[in-house]
Amino acid sequence: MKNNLKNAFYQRLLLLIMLAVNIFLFNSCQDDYLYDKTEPSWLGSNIYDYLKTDGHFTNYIKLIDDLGYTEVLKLTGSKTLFVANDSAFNVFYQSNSWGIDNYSQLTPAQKKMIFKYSMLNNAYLNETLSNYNLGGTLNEGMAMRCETELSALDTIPFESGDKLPDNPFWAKYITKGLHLMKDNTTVPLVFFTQKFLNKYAFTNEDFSVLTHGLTRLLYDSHIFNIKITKKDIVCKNGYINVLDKVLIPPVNMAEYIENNPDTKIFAKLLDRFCAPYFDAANTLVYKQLHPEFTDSIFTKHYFSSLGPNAFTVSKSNSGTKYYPDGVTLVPNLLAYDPGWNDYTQGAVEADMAAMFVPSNDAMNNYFNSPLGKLLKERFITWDNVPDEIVVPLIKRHMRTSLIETVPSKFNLMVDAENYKLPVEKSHITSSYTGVNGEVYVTNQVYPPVDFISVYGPVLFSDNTKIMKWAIKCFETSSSGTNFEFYRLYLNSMANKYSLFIPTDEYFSKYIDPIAYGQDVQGMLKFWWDVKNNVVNATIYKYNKTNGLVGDSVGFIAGNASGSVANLVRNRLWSLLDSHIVVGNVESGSNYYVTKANDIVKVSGSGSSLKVQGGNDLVNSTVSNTTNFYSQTNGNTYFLDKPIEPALKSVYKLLLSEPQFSSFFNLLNGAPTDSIFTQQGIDYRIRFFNAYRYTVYVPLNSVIDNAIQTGELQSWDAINAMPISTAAQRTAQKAAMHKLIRFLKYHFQDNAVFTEQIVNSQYQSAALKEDNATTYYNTAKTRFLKIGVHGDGNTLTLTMDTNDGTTKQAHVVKDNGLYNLIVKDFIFGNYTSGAVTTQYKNVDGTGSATGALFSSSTLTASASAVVHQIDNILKFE
Amino acid sequence: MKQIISKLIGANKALCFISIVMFLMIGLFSSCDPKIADESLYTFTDKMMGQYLKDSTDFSEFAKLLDTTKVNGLLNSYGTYTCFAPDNQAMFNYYHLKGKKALTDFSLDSMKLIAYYHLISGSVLKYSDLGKGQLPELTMGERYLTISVDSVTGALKINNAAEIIKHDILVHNGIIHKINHVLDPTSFGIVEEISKNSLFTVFYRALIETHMSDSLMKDRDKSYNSLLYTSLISVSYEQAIANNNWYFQQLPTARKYGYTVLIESDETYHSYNIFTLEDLKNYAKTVYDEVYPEDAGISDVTDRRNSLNRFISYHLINKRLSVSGLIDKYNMYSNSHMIDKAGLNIYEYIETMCPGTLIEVTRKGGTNETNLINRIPETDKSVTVLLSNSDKDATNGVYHQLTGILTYNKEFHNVISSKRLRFDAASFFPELTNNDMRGKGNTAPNSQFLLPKGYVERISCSDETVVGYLTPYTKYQDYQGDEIFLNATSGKLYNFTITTPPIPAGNYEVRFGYLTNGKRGVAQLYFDDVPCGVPLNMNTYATNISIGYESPGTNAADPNGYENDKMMRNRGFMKGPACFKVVVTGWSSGQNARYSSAALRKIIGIYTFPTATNHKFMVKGLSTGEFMFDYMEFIPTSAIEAEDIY
Repeated sequence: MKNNLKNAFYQRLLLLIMLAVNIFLFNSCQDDYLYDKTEPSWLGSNIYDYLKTDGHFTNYIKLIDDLGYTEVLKLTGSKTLFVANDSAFNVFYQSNSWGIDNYSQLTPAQKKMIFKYSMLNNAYLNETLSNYNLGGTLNEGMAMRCETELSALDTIPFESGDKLPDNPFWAKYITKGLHLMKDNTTVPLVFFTQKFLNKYAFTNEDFSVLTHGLTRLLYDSHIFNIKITKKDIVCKNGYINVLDKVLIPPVNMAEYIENNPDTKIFAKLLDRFCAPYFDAANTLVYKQLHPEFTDSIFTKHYFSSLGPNAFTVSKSNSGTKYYPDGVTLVPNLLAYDPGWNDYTQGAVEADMAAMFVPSNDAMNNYFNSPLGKLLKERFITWDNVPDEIVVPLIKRHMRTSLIETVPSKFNLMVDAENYKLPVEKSHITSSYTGVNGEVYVTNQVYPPVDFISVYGPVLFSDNTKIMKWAIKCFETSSSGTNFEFYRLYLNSMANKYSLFIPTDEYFSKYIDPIAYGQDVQGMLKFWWDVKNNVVNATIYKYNKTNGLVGDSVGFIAGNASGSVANLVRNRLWSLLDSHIVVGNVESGSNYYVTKANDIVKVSGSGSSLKVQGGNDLVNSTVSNTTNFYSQTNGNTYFLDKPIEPALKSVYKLLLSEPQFSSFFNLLNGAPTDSIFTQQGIDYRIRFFNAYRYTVYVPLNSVIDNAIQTGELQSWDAINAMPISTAAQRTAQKAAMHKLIRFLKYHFQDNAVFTEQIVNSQYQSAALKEDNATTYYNTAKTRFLKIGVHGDGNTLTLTMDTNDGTTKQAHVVKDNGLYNLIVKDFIFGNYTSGAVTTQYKNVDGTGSATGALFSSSTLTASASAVVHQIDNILKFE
Repeated sequence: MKQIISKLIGANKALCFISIVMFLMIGLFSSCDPKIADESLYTFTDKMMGQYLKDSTDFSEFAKLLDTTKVNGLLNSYGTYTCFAPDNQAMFNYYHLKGKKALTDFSLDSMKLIAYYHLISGSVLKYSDLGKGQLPELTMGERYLTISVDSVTGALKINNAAEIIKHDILVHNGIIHKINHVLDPTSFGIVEEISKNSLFTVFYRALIETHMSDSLMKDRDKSYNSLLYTSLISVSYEQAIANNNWYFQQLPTARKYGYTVLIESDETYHSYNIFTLEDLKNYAKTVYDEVYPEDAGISDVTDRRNSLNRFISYHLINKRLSVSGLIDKYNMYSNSHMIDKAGLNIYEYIETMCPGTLIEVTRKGGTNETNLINRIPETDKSVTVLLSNSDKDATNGVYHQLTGILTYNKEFHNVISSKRLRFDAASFFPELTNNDMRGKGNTAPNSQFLLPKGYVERISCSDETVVGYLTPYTKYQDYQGDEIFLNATSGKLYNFTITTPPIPAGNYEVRFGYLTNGKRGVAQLYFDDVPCGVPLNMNTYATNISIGYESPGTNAADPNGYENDKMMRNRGFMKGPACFKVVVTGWSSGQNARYSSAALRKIIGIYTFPTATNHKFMVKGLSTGEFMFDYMEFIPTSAIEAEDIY
């Protein structure tokens, strides 16, 4: 075999050299050449004569004669043929899908299909068949397809109405049928040569799965799943390859899926995304070839972002993105057109597509499995599943490269969103090599991550449109890329989430934090705009003192532009942040921190779970679970009310609680912006940011006592210090600095509750400014620590002292002043002063210079838990 | 048509035949019209290098060499060359040294090797450009030359042998330096080179006995062919020059391997009472049994856990590092990004062939003290290279004699296990060093190497991922000025895994350093296959509230930025280190990276490493965007408290 190859190879080389030399002679100053008049002895007959003389190709010879190619194959150079001998034809007549049992029954179209599809319009050795050129670069061993002589116009079938897809675009042809090209691009030949298989490390098992069980030997070549039994028979005008079966052009993937009784459910889903498009160009050409033809020719196109463009005559891969009216944009596009014969992502030769197509049983099993339960509960049948949900399901099963989709590479496959595709070889029940890709029929469905993540229930529910809209709102990066951060976040299979989703009917009373701090308070009602598929907000007046809702004073559309464009999104994202907990909220703790750094209290579990935010705890309101879904990356809880985060700031709580007054006075006496700074609803702690903290407030008596004993200096005392000399001013400054650091030592990173079992050290807000050794060996320029020991009932604090002593404080529970949840907001576009000067009221009244409420943004928030303690915290 | 031709000529042999035929055709066709005026070929008056050498009586023998090898044709063409030209006497001496009578006694291959060894293409190196140490430019023989200063005459010498006796002879296409000694290109691998040097008999014996010599044999990956990847290039050097583009892309021309051997002389061993291999074994045992007591009983010296094997392996590096490549050339080049000041030491960590170990090279900031290997801060003791016997070149590596014995001893183990280890991203990958990508200093237009899939052994990535190495550029706010840049093909997502150098056992906080630019995409990070928290939105600018960067000094209540440091750490980020800067502001600014809102460190997490080993950092893009990483840090959790801002 090898020798044959080698001989043929060198013979071909000699031919080429002779050709080159011929050209040279023609151009040069000489005239005579031996082979001008003499044929080389090793050259065989022409293709036609060879087949005729051989005597085993009578059927094929008939095809040539009948189709008028006799002279072509006697004279014209550069053809490659893949022919079947009479034995192969006899086997074909015994069993075939065309239902014929002898040559005479072949229609002209069938003859063309067999003959033209077996002929390449150039002379290729098997050795070079797997080479192709792209942009001037020769790619060796990288080809698996090539174009044949078969033209789309060689076979124009008439499709009767009962065979047409079931979607509105086909409805008007149901009764009369139509002349329909399944695709109007050329029909490539697919081949597997040793060079190609080596190049892409296909294993023999890969080949076997691709060809549904064939085995191959080294250096075997196959056209689809037909073996070439004799390669490279050299003729004067090209090469002949003998196949062990008659080569009938396979169909494309879409046709195969549609025709396969085992994939009907999937095919029906796929059919939703195709339509007939009038093919003016081919109708014209066909009419010229067949003057008797008076009808129209249509082409079936799938709505896709990669594939033929139904509206352009010239070759285009931009896909068909409009309905046949040419005006209406298709909202849901497939990854590519699965019926596109000429499928390409660069060079037709280089690769083709692949699809995993779940069998009918697999589709039914999935629908009835725990994973598919959500889908079934929501939609009952596959037919009811809306297009926007079907498309990602189909796309997950579509692969753009066969080279990357063979069994030996299944474990490396990720989908277009970089999520692993969990296909195993054992899932493949059958396979088919189409002209544009491989169809693997599977016993599994591979649902998109959207379906199985905590986002899934939101996606499927008809009553979570508001949160779904918020999750799917996109951001735009500096490079102009849009990305749906929340969807990506919630789809992370590497994490576990607890996602709380208030259903649509419970968005009628969102107390807006910015409006809450205004003279005229406001409240937002979010609602789904069916017509525009968007969430809008209506603004109402609201009285925070008595909780009464007033008249509506404004409306903001979710798709608004300009300065109000982001309000709905901004508030819903803020709300969403307050409803996502990373981790499991049923792990036994009572308190959890949300993505917004809000602290929520949770009780119960599953469908009985209840959750309260800071404001709920104040008002004794509860969000109850109405539906519970256990998903692959966590749990989703549908709630009967949004969780209401705290609206009270640290400042407000300490100000309003008499038992905190002594500590508050010290804080409030500090120079502006050293502890409190005007921001958010009223004031916020300057050194708080988007995080969660604990604030320890010593008993009034303790603070007062410390001042009385001189352990602490009051602001009055500091302010009364003489400042006549530089030294005095320095002394006063030092005293102020000391007191501020003392106060800041009561603010700790991380929220710790009395119920927690904890034994850890946390950083305070007080900077260590010297090299003295402290209890926790805090380094200079680091922040002094607070040791926290929690036994599940109360907390004991150990101070980071620098005098070798052990000093402690304890949370006081007697007064009920512990585990108090507060929240400091940061509002956008803030300069200085009260929020009332930053923005106008919701009804447009208020600060003359303030921006409209509708342009306001919530930027971030910090939460804190406040405990009363029985001792001051000191470190020096 | 092209396609058809390509199919036809797909086989290499066919291509060859046809090329010959076509060549002949062209030749004969041309012969029909021979009247092209010779004088019109030249548009300049000064001499080309080839012509100059040919015309000069001083260089007639060397010119003969160039003629015979047809290198002269090259030197008479456009381009830029530096030539170290031996005079006739040098050539005669060389013949004599090699036992030959005339040039014609050498084989053509040998002659070519000699000719190419004296030429550097692409650079005009004036005498004043020739600093001490190995020249960064490769000769056309793909070997390096080392410059030294003669201690007596003060003249520059090449390879410590050939003195430059006349310099800076300018010709149209380059520069010639006259030398008095032929540069003798070695054709031996690193092991053979060491074997030939009588100073290192004990080390050499140990190298052979442990079979570690077998690990120094590779030369070049012959399967790599850069021509297969030319489609990756979208901006070539020529295009960059023509369009005044700030960068260009290129492919590594080869995939070479390279080694460095740090070696002690017999004399050095003698001072430690080591005279025989047995003595060395005993010495190694005392050192390594203390560090690895569990392996103390392993007597087979070929076992990678044996003490002698560890001793020898610790001297072997799978990168070809000149003396300057140990640390200086990444940090001390002209307009370097690194801040050089007293008290601010710079470190380079180099993985050795001793499993799980690193060498630390220190350059003391603000001083000329450099190449301090495994320095113990308390005692200031270290080993360094003996410059007079370093940069010893071999075909696949280089060796340097050390001033003392180098070991991974307990004392150094304790030092390196308790400090922050910062690795420039490029230091992870030997391919970048061995193929002359790392260590170039600032390039303009910026030279960006695209690394085909599989080129870098320690980066595994999806087909959609494009990996690049960006050499230093004055506008990059990068540690050492360079970065690893990853992207995905249009509309696709990147997905890659990087293998880190080995890190000593312990509890570590792991971070990676990067530049924010608002277009990095959303990604899920994994360290040793464990997800690093929720997906990270790297599109976010550092000043975004979710990161919260504040430039130090901009907040009166937090003048040094320490409070902001704490806030950022709470959110999983840190400011850039204060040890490097951007050279030319524009894309970013600040007196150092700490003052730049573009330079960030992302804290990946805290991990316990039970053994000293390599680790895997995987990044999966979830939205389209790019990814870059500049450096990685591993800091023992116990060292975080006292960590500096540098």
